[in-house]
Amino acid sequence: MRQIAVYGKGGIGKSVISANISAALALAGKKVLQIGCDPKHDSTRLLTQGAQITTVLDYLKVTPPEACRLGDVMATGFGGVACVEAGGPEPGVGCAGRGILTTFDLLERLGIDRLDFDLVLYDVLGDVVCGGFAVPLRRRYADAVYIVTSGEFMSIYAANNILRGLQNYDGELKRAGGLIFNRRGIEDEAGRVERFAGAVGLPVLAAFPRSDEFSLAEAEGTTLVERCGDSAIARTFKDLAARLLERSELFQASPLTDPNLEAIVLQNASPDALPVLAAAALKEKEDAPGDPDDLVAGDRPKRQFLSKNVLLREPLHGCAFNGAVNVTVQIGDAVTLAHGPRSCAHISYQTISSIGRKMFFERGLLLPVQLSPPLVSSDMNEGVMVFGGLEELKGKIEELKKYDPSAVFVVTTCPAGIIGDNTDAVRDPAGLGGIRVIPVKTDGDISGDYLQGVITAYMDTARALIKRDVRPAENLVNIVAEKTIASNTEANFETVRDLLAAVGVSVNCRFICKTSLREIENFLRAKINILAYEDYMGRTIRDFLQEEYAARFLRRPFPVGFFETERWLAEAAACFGREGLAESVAAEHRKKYRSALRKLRPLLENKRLLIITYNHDIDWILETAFDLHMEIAKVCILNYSQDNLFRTRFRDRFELAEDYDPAQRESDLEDLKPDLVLANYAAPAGAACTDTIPLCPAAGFFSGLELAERWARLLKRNSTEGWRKDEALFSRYYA
Amino acid sequence: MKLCSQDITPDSLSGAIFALEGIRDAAVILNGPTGCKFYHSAISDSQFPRGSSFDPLAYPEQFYFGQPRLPATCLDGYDYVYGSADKLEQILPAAAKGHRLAAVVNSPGAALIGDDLKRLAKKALAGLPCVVLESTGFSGYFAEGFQNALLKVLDCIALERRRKIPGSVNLVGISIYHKYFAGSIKEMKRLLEMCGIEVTAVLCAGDRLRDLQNLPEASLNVVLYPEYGLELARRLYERYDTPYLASEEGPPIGFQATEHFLRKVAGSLGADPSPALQALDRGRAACFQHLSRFHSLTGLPGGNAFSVKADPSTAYALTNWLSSYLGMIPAAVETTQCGRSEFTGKLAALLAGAGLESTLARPVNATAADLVFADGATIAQLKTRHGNCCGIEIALPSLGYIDVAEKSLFGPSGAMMMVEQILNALRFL
Repeated sequence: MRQIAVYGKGGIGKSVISANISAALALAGKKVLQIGCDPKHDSTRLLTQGAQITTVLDYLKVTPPEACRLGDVMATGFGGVACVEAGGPEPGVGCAGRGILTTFDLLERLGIDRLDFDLVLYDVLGDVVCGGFAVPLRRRYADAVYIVTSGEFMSIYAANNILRGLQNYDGELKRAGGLIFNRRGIEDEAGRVERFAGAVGLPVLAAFPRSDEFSLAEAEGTTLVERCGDSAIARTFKDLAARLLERSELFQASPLTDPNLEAIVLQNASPDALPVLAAAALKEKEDAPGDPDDLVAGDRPKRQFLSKNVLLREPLHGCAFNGAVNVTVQIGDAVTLAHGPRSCAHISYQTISSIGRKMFFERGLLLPVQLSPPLVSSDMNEGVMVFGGLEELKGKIEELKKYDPSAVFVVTTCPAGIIGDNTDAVRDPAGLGGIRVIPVKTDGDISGDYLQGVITAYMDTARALIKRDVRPAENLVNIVAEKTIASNTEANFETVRDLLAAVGVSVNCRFICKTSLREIENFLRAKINILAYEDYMGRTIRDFLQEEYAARFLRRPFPVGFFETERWLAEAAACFGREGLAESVAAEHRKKYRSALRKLRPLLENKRLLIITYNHDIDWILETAFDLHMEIAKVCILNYSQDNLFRTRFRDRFELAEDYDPAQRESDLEDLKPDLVLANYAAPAGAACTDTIPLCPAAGFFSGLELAERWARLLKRNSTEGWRKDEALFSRYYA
Repeated sequence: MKLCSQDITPDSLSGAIFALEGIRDAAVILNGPTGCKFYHSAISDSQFPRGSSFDPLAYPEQFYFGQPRLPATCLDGYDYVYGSADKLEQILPAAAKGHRLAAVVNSPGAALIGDDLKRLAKKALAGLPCVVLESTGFSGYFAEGFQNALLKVLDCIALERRRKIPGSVNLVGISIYHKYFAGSIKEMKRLLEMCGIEVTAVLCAGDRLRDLQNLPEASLNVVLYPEYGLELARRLYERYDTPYLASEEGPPIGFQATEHFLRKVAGSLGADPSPALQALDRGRAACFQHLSRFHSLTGLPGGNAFSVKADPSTAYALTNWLSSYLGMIPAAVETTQCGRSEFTGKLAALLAGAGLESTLARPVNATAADLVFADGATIAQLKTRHGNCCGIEIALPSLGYIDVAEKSLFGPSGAMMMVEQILNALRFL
């Protein structure tokens, strides 16, 4: 069996030529299958007397997988030619390329490759526009690729692009069969095609003139070969068909560069002389940057709030969809609708509920959002991928009304983004259609990493809900940017809430953690905002709220360790005129802190500490270590997706390695000989003891002290744990 | 707002990944974003750990992102436009090194862009067999993704029909995503060995490629969880002429279903089931002693209300056993989405026979019961509403308990473990 693919620019006559080739072969007694790979599904129309056949994709829409039969999508046309049309979505929706992939999957599953054809002809839409339309180029489908072109420049341009696609697949392999010239009657047409053919090293296998014979046949819904089989054009088709079948010589795809193509085909300039307008404009700007204020309003770039991964073009950690979902589910009276396949919602569901289950199991803590997140999946399926999923999405939103939510957040996944589902079409923040719908367009990781999703969700939620006419009330603060998947989020909140209560201040809204629509709407009731973490995410969300809502922030985030907590409390109290209260709270804790230091110092004094960590703020550890008279051998800061700003008030008191290379760990252990290694994950550390540092430390006066108590216990031991010697046994029995 | 808490189960993507991750010496590479990688990597590593270290610095940031399993190409928005070929060319040789089989799985997004994985894998992995899954389906059933992936593995390793070794079986239809899969397999092997039956391969939870290569030699394919193995067994019959057997009583959970299972397998192979049945009797005897004492003190467990949430065959076997052996009463029986299963109808008939068909319409996470047999998430949800109940985990996700001692859901070991948990759960009701 021979398989060929016929490509060419849209509207160039591929389908007419393909159908005539199939008809010519059928007349020669050959068994032919023609598969139209174009959403407009008219490839085989001239073989079926103009009758439309059920497209594979329309068929799949209404037929359960186990009920699919090849005969339902394969019609018999002129001369017994088997005809299949892939079909596809309406223009502007869904993903036609995915449709081609789906069609080929189904045909293969139904055993089309087991049918005995002499020739299978794939008639493929226009240019090689994406991987889906390139499927017929794959070697298991097409033995040879032929390109239909006229002398119009855009047609030749498309032909050259098809050769690029083929080159990407084949490298130096030879699968290009040649060009089929379909005349349009423009000036120098044959010259253009011949020059192009010569430059790319392909033969022109046949040339078809403009002729009324084509239009007359088309008007009757037949091929020219069928209608006037003895005409000169019909004979050309028969010759061409015979050549295609007899495995004529094949060539390597050797496309031209764009400038060369233009120079050769149009003969109007040398490649070097062609202007590159955008680059020139850039150059001009470089030479004379000028004052940014000179820019007219439309030119001024809008401030973007980007995650570190996105800003620095780093590999993405997690996906924005997941980050956004983890935020929006925190609004307890709203439902989050994950627009995507179930796997995406499942992964988010597990991310959210994992902490809830463990906290419940180990500590008996009930975290309602983490145990029963208000999350629903739109369950996008194969049909939606091809035809678009907006109608299904609207139906799903309607279904959610039964829960009586205050709002529905629609968060998009990669597939929703790739097929271009426009969720703005369901946007309804005022709830005019009976339910408030707030799209959060993360498009999986297309818009960025987990952190970008968190930032996007904060911004979209704020813009949709925060009421700008709300006036501040006394003694209220908002807590901003808590980490919802940390295990100590609630404990830290309670610590800070209690500290605030001690100075007479209450929490207005936890933005966005265990909150409600109403609390977010009234965000501006709080006079002051307090960041939970001043890491990259915290700083970005603070910048956003300051810029768009003129929000005032306390200078320090949730305090960790004695020094920070003392200062933080003083500052918070000062904001509300309660300085005296803060000092009495601090004095009480200071006494306890000093007493604990006195007990620990004999055990930890002069011990050497090596710290290798992702945390970019470890002053709470350093402070305790210095207060205990420990020696800091080195602090090694690893590259971390969630922060990029190492900050310390002890800068000159230890050796610091930022952007630390983990490969250096062994030699550092060897050279520095620490007594204790602190890291986020305990790893083998030679003779040294190891302990872990939490990525999200506990807030409050005693965070460092609590770790130091563990160090003292660890260093008191004289022996290595027995289990450490059993790695060989693990390898023997389990690895 | 009314409570909106839906069970979002894993789909065909997870089924495919965990099928391939179940092959001990396979390198499974995800062509997709890390958003699809982290979860699957974490579950695979916790269910089926193959390395002793969890030091993230030992697993490079590129591809592994600090996790031991499932290296990924980390696709981003640019790759969806320009294709993933460059990243695949980089990752494939590095990730496949030292493995017997490579498998490349497209994430749902990657499946839409149509990269020719087969060609790229062939180019990058000279000579190493490589399974390519361009699309695992979108929102398909886990069981479907699981079985389709295994069929692709069999296509890839191109096995021939072979002469059958008498008295040998393959265990079909169990994955590393099944709770206590390793202990359950060990228990099955122990019981079958007692009958003189050897297990050639397990599809697909922990075996090596060379074990799978021997699977055409087995005389019989024994289906454990029918939803995950029946279709596969049918296809194996077409390919290798290996007959298959799935017990009408469901998986060997509880004493009756195990007995039926053992008699049927032994009967099919002309083997003697007596030694295994004796082990089963010993289990019954041990349970009797505890049940008898417990009963004389409390009158329980008969009459206690229980709920089950599981795949239809597991729900059927458990409901049947808990009702008939322990005299407990179903309060809610909920089946998970896993495609067509003949046990859906059997379960309905079983409950209808006891006048309890309404239990099928009740959600387990909202129905009061003394005991609930389900995944950890459902148990936790029920406890938030009806605190006075006890949960026994039979499926993932877990509540978080780390099992060091190997446990089984199958055979006498499984039955004894469940009786033990039931007795410990009911003492202060």
